[in-house]
Amino acid sequence: MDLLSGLALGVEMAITWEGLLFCLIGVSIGMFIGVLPGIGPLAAVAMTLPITYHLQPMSALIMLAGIFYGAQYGGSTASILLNLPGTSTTAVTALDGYPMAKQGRAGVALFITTITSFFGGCVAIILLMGFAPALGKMALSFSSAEYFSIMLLGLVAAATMAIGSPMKGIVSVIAGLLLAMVGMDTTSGTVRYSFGILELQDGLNLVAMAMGLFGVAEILKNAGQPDRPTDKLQKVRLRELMPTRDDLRQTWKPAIRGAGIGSFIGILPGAGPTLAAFLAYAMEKRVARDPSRFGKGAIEGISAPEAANNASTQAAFIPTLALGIPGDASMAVLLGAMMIHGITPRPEFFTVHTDLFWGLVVSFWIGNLMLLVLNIPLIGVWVRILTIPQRLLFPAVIFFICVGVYSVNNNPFDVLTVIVFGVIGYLMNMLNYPTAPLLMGFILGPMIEQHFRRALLFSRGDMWTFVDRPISAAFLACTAGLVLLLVFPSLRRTAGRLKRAF
Amino acid sequence: MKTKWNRPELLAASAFMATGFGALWVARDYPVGTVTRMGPGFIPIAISVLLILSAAVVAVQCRSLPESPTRPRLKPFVFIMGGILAWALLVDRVGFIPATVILVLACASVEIGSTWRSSLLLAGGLCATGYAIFIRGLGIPLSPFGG
Repeated sequence: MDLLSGLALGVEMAITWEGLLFCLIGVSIGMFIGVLPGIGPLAAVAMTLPITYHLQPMSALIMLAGIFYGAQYGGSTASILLNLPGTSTTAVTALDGYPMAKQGRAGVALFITTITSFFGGCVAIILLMGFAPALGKMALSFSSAEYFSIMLLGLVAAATMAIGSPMKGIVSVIAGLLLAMVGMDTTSGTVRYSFGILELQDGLNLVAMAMGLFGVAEILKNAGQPDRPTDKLQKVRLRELMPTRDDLRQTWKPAIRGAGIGSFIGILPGAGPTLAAFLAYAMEKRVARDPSRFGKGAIEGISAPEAANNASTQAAFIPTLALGIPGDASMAVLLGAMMIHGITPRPEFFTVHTDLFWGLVVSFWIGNLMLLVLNIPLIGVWVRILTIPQRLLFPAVIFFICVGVYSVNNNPFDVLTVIVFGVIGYLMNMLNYPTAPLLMGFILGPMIEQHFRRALLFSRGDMWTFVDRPISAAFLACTAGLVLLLVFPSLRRTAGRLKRAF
Repeated sequence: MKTKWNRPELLAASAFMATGFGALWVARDYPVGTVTRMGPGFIPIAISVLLILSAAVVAVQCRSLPESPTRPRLKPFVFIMGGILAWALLVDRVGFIPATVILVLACASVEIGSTWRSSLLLAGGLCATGYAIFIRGLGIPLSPFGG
């Protein structure tokens, strides 16, 4: 199907009262969650997932996707005004956004981040329209060997590109794979690791796990701490938003570079928007004529990362939809949500679910436009959200987590699962083990096992099948490169320390 | 030069290793099969071994790292987890509204500046919203009071 007829179909699918309504709900929830520090888009999606069971798949997807990219818009608000990132992806924005706010230019900073976010999103959606169906077509020739290799690349990338120790990321991914083994083995029908518990025969509940790891664990980290210092919060008036001509001149080039970096990172399986924003910032600092301006309110320091994180969030849909390989943990949850609705994102996605794909693409355009409109005139409302005290917010979030998880299967067992993963997530956060790779491992686990077994069945047990096939070999080579790049230096350091110790 | 083992880090790595050994032990009953026709035990055993090995590398690496400055804070942990546990155990037995009130009061009690009045008002508001969305709207089978 060519681009134009695709778009026409998408318009037909997405521009309905229902489509528009759920797009608006999705981006508003995303924006809301994004503005609030301490609750990420993952927790928001997990909380709204139960509601989507009662919706059409199209509306459900539009709404869930809207939460993700909406949160990218909202996250910069708290970064700029309070020096507290609303979501981890906008942490970089605080570096120059907060100094701008202190100089009384908060309005300009908010305006610039909104515009560059919109720009980054648009670039990546264009890529998605052009690239994803082509990639899907190419992937039709993939066999299990290729799928295994690309998933392995995704897992290793997710583990090693997380911020922190790459080895801990790998431990986390492997632990996630092990958790994925709980429940019935699809090939043999054997129930594994159920410990005689009936509820575990279908495997661990994804929603409960995500809520524990990302919702409860995050709240435990912040609960009982003093509220955000909202008295310092500036009032942002509409007329303060307008940037000067100079500001705009300094914005557009970094925005283009940021969107490029973000799109590239987004397409890579396993690398998420946080990395994209950091890379874009580093890049601007390198190309700047006067790098000392950074950290003191340089406008490039907000426009590039904001374009990058939005581009990355949108571009992450390319591998997710075309290959069924999530770009990061948030996409992994979305993938889980799609599977619950009986949609398996696969190369065939573009032929079987053409309407869903184009509907989603059109909803991205609409959603990004809505966010632009929601952001600029209503900025005062979003700033007010930052003044909601924790004593009201946190109990409410915990309540919605409980009742939301309960409603998935109408079973309190899932709520107990939340507690277990809340404890695990809390401990992992405290000891700097990244939790997102755990979820990636959990979601990809059953698929990677299936493809590994099937590939070896076809090759009659010949392990070389993964290297003999050129595409698979290329993915494996990338994986090996990542491992060498990121694990070797730390191993060498360890070896050096051991030598000194003995 | 004597390097000190970083105790929390070591404990965490050991916990992952113990999980790996536990998973191996449970998997001893699952048929392994051959490489061509793998049984349900093959992959779990492989993953368990990988987990033990990678956690062992972290355990070795974490020597002489500075201990992380974050200390666990017990009160929020106990009250919030206790609240969720109470909700999970009570919601089917005493009903949605009492369970929710207990949960909200437990969670609010750890926050600075919360009062009985504000917490009870919040609990009331959440009960009403939850009842409207989940019980009325989505039809989940919970009764407001009683099992």
